[in-house]
Amino acid sequence: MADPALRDKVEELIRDHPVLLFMKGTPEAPRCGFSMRVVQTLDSLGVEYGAIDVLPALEPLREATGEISDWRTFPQLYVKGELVGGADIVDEMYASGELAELLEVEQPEDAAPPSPNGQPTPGQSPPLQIE
Amino acid sequence: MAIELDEVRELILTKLPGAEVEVSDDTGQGDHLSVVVRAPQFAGLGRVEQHRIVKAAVQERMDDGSIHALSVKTEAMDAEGASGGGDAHTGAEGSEAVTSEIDAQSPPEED
Repeated sequence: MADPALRDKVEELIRDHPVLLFMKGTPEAPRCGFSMRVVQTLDSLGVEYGAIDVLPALEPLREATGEISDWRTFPQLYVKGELVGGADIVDEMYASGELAELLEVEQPEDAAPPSPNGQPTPGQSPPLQIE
Repeated sequence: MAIELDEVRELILTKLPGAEVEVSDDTGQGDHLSVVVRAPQFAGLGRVEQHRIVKAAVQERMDDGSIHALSVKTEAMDAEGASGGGDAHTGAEGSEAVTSEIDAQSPPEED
């Protein structure tokens, strides 16, 4: 059972933010490669979004989103109160143009997925892992 | 901790009999995995629901830490078992099955 107060708070956040990302870390300092991918996608689309760092309360938030949306992994992107999905779904929808359509923005011309080859970029630090 | 790829495959097949399941190990350490699942049961379901089914199949092994990260790619296939790869599906679920999902990074945007 999720804490009812936390669950209410999460529902309120989802309701009050047209675009809301639950992620590990912050947009400036993502702490998970999956979260970073979604941040890059949203940034490339130029949309404003709210971001919640789940790490300070990972398990309680997992419980809460599990009950609200039946989704227990992060990142989670919500648009207009609806769960869009995690990084994989966001990538697919970005590549196909569905995400731009949903967000009512122009699809960038170079709309390749953030990591088309899945190869780390040289010089980048590896993602921090939260064990 | 890690998990055998065959076990992941079996867990998914138990939930989705008749599915085509490809499991790959992104890091060689058996805990960052990618799965591509083509299943007749996905027909008519949205992506979120398809992913929920796959994740539910392996939930226990994510909760116990055996699987640290899981990329999921789903695709509906028709009942005859054709995956429809390359075909243009009608509806929202006709994506190509391409795995490019690993915990990799690109440079952050600089704006």
